[in-house]
Amino acid sequence: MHANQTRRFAAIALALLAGLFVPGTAAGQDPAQPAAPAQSRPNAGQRLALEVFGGAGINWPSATSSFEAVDLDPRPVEFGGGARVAGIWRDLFAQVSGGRWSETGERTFIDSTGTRFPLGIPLNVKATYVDVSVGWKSGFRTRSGGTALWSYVGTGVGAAMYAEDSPFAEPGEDLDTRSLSYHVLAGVEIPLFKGLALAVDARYRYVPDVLGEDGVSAVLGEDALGGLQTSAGLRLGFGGRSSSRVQEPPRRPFVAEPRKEPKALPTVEELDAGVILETAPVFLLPDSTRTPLRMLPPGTPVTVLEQNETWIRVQFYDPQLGLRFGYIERKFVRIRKQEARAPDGAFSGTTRTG
Amino acid sequence: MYLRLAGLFAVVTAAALVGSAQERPERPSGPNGRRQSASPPLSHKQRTHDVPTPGFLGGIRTEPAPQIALDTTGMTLSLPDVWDVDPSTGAQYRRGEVLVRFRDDFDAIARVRALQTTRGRRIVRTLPANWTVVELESGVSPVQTANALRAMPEVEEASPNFRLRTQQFRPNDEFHHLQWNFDAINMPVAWQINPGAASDVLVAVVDTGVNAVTDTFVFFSPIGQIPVRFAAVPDLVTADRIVSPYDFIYDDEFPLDLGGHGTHVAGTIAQQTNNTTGVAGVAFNVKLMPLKVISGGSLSSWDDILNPGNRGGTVEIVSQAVRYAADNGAKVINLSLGGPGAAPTLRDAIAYAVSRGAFVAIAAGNSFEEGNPVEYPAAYGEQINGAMTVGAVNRSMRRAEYSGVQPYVEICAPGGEVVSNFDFEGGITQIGYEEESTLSFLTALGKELALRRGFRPRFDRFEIRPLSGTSMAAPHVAGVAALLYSQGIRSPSAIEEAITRFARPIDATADQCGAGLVDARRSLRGLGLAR
Repeated sequence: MHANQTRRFAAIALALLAGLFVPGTAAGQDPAQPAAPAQSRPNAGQRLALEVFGGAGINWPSATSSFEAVDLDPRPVEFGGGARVAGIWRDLFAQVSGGRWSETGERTFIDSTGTRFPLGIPLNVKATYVDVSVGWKSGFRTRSGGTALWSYVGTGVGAAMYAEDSPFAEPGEDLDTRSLSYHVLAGVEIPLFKGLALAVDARYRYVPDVLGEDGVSAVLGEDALGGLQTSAGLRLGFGGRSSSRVQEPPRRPFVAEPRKEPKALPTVEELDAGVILETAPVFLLPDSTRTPLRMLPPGTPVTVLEQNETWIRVQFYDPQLGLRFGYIERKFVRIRKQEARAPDGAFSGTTRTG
Repeated sequence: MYLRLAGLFAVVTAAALVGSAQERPERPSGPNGRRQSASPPLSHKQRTHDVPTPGFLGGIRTEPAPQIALDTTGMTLSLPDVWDVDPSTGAQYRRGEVLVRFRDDFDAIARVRALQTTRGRRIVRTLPANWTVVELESGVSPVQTANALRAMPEVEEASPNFRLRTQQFRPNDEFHHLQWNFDAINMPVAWQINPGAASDVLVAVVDTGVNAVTDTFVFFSPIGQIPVRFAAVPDLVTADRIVSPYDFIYDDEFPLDLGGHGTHVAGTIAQQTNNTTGVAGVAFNVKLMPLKVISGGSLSSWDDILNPGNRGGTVEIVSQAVRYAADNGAKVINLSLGGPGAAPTLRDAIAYAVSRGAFVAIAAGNSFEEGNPVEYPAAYGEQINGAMTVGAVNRSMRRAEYSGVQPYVEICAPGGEVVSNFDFEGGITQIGYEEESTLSFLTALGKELALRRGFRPRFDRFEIRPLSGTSMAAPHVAGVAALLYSQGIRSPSAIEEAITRFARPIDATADQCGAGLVDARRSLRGLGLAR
């Protein structure tokens, strides 16, 4: 391991690790609009999600001169894939990924002036990587709530398997070795369909101890096998916060909060009035998965007791049971504002129970 | 002893003295623009255009080789002959067998039926991956059967049981087995990478000459007009192979070898190979430029008897020859010569040749046991990037006891160590003159006496000769350089670097063998990405 490169890589990895815990910027946001608050927030109730991904990419090897010297494509195409477990803790993920590229070049001789003499002997080179990474994956959406994307950064270690063979070799002259590798990565995922996303990834990999001891890499003083890899592919998510749900704002559970000093209760006249726009389910709690208390037909008047972005707590008249309280999704209600209205904010959840 | 030998060979000599009566051909301009004179005294030798007696030429040795007399009448070879040959490819296959891979979805009965329809007798063995070895009925052609089987739905693949062979190239030259020196520098695999270089590579052998013509030349010696027969070196000189030959001693284009040294050296570089004849050479496809600059292998050469006082071996004409080689397209120059006298003129000539793109291999010298003096031009090899000074190793891959030990030794190659005239075990085996025809073992006095008694040396009879010396080592490096040039390394300095970098370490110090033993395979194979 070469000290300078090790230090450089460690610095990059540390910077990225530090960045893991800084909320990401809204990468997919319309720059013309003011920055929307990040929609992803620590979520203690986050479920684990399994994601699998695969794709192809282009390598930009650190040892470009050596690659060119032996007539290898300096931009080898790598195919790979992997699996990721997201939501381990907040937005922390861990993943295992693998990639492989192979190229055929030509053995060569380079003299002390750097002149290259191709020798017409095939050179087969294969590199296989298995990486284990951890990182932070944040979801973003635009203010309109439409298109969203995930961005992620990570770092990790892995194993690099490198093989090189040519005709006319004697035993031991071909190389088939493996080495520890280190990498940092960053990428974005753009949701396409339910659970499916387009993933664009960049990864810098440092693989010491493979190149630089012999061959043209030694002549040219290039001792790292890795380099930058950019790739594009597809990601399929299962469970947890998959991409299909990315665009939905996280539901805010009605968590009991510490009771503040109660203000004077507003009178009925001070409350907003509302009218049902279309047949709307009323729930006991702000949870659309529950069985509705009642389906209110369009035109039903309700009294708005409390509200937030998604839900409205209303009082309504039940023809069978009389006045009742419940929660209706905001989209079903048109609100007529009074001069004195109740302040917006989180529901207390402990007052005004029906 | 001399009288006995002279008397013995005098009766063999039958060449006619016809030279003086024939018209001399007009000679081309020499390298210095000198017009060749038609008058005998200036050149000391004259071509006769005599056609030698058939039977003396083309063979390696005209004397009957030691043979075991075996009468094979009525005998048959007891080894089983189980191989046939596919006439379309020349591939051998085992008689009466085919290899068949059946499809998975056919059971054993279907398979047997399929075989029966193609006259398969039985399944002899089953192999992994659904392959079987099928024995055919007597007289059935495996090639045709395999074709028929391939067309059947039950069969996925079928082929005769072809015979494979090792891919290592082993020349089939009759005496190649004596050439341990080529195995030592990894030539068998090197020949697979580059089979003998290309014919566009021209190698100059600045030495005692190489017979490129078959004729009788008359030498105008102090003893009188001596007719001497020459033959183009068999297995070395072929049509269009000799390019711009020149004799810098006699100043003509017939660099006749009166010692055998140049022939032996040229053979190591370029002897025709894999033609069932003689021995092999490193770069057997190259073109040769024989340049005669030195009179025989020793001071008692026939040149010194037939043309006393000649300028052979002087720095002046060696330098001339080196420049001539470079100017006439030589890409490799071999200098298996040297001495203890400094030769700055030759140093400049070598530097000039390198600047013209010619790699120069120089023998390190054989005087270790005579005080290990500094030798020239060997000492210049280290100073000139693109010229290499070559020491010699013996068959044990240790420095040969005669090989000079000096800091200018850059590389070693097999030079051998002979303890007798026919020490094939220890020497470097190449083509040379039949000793009885040249009496090369005689001193100058002995040769003159033999000549006066009627003996006529002849240089048209060849045999396989083991020699040793750094003179024999240098052409190995020259040959490898020719291969490297043909492989694409066209800069003399890069050739030197490639030879040095890929030299094999041996048990020798740096001043004995420089970087080690030249390794043709490794040099030609070059570098990979990580190896």
